Amino acid sequence: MVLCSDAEMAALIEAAEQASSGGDTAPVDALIARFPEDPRLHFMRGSLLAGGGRPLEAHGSLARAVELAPDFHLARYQLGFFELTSGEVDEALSTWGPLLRLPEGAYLRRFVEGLTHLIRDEFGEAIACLRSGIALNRENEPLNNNIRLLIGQCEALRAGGEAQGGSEKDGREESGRASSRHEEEGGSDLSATSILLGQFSRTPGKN
Amino acid sequence: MIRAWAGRPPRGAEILFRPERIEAALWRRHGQEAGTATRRALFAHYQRFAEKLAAGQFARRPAGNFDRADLTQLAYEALLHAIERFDTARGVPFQAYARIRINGHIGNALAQTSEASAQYSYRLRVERERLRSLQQGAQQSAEDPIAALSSLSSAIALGLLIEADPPGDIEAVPDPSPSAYDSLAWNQLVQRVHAAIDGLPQREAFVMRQHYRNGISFQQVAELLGVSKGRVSQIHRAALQRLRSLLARQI
Repeated sequence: MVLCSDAEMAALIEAAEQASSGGDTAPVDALIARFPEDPRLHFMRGSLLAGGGRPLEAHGSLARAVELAPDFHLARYQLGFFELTSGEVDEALSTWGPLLRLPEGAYLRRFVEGLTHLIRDEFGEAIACLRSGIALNRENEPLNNNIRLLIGQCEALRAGGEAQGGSEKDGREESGRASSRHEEEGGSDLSATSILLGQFSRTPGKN
Repeated sequence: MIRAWAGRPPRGAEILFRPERIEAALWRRHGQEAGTATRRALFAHYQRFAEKLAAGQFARRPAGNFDRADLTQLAYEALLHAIERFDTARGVPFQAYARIRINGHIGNALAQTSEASAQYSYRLRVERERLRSLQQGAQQSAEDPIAALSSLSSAIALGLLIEADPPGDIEAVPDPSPSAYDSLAWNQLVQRVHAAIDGLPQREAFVMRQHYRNGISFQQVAELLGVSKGRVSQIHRAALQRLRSLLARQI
C-alpha cells in the first residue's frame, strides 16, 4: 500500500479548509489518482462529499476507505454514522461491529455503544456512554463537540418524553424539532471542522 | 435493510436521520442490486409525491371525463417509468426529473383520451380486472353454476368490504349521520377482514393491500412484484378465496 506523503496530506487539508464549498473533490481526486490505495484519501473524499451534499458518492468513498484499511477505526465509525443517518440502522450496527471489540478505554467504542442505546430509545444509557466517550477522547475535540450536541438532543427528547407521558405524536414532533435544531446548528457527523482539524493527524488503525 | 418505520418510530434514531441520505441510500441499493425489492422501496418512497402531483393536476383542470383516481394511476405509471430510467450519475434530483415526466404523462394521456374511451374510467377498469380475475376461477368450477355464482358473489362482496375502509381522503367531508356502515358490527367485520389480510401469505397480502388499500392497478402491482399481470390476477383470486375460507372458519 503506497500512501501519499505527510506534506501532501497537509497541503490537501489546508486546501480543503480554504475552499469556499465543501464539495470540491478535485485536489483529493488528483491525489487518489496517484495513490489509489491510500485509505485516508478515500476517507477525506467521502467526508467532503458528505459535507457537500453528495451522499450517493460519499458512501462509496467511505466504504472504500474501510475496505482498504479495516482497522482504520475512525473511518469505520464515520461510515457507520453515515449509514445511520441514511436510515440504514442494521448496516450501521454491522459496520460498527469491530469497534465494539476495541479496549474499554477506546472512545470510539463508547460512542458506538451510546449510539446503539440511542437506536433503542434508551436515552439514559446513551447519554452515559456518550459522556464517558467524551471524557476518554483527548485527541479529537471537534468530534466531542458533535457528540455534546447529540447529548443535548437526547436530553431534550428524554425530558419531552417524560413530560408528555410518552405520547407518540408529541414525541415525533419533539424529535422533528430536535432534528431541525441539529441541522440549524450545523451539528453534523461529518462537519468540515471535525474532519479537517482532528481526524487526519493520525495514521489509520491508530486510535 | 432500510427501515420504513411504518409502526412506532424509534425516536432516538430519528434524531440523526437525514432525508436526503435516506433517499440516496435507496438509489444506492437500487444501483447495486436492482430488483423488485429496491424498485418497490423507491416506489413507496415517492408514492406520496406522485399523488400530490396528480392532485395538483386534478385541481388545475376543468371537470372532464376523468376522475382523480385516473390521474393518480397515470402518475403511478409515470413514476414507475421514471424510476426505471433515472440515471443517478447525472446529478439531477430525482423529484425534479420525475415531476416533468409525471405532469407530462398526465397531460399527454388526458389529451389523447377521447370522450368515449374516457368513460372507461379507472374505476371501471379496476372492477373489470377484478371480475376477470374471479371469473377465471369460476370457470374451473363450472360444474355447479349456482355454487360458482355464489362463490363469485361472495368474493366480490369481500373485495368491496376491504375497499370500504380506504385510506383517509383529506378532501372527504365526514358524514355525521349514523348509518348501517357505521355500526359496531360492520366496523368489527372490517377489522376482522383486515386482520385476516395480515395473516395471508406475504405475496397475497401485498397484492391485497396495494390494490385495495392503496388503489394500485394490477398492472402496476405486477411491475412492483416483477411478475405478469396475469399472475397478479391469480394471486388476487387465491387471496380472496383464502380470505373467504379464513373468515368462514371464524364466523
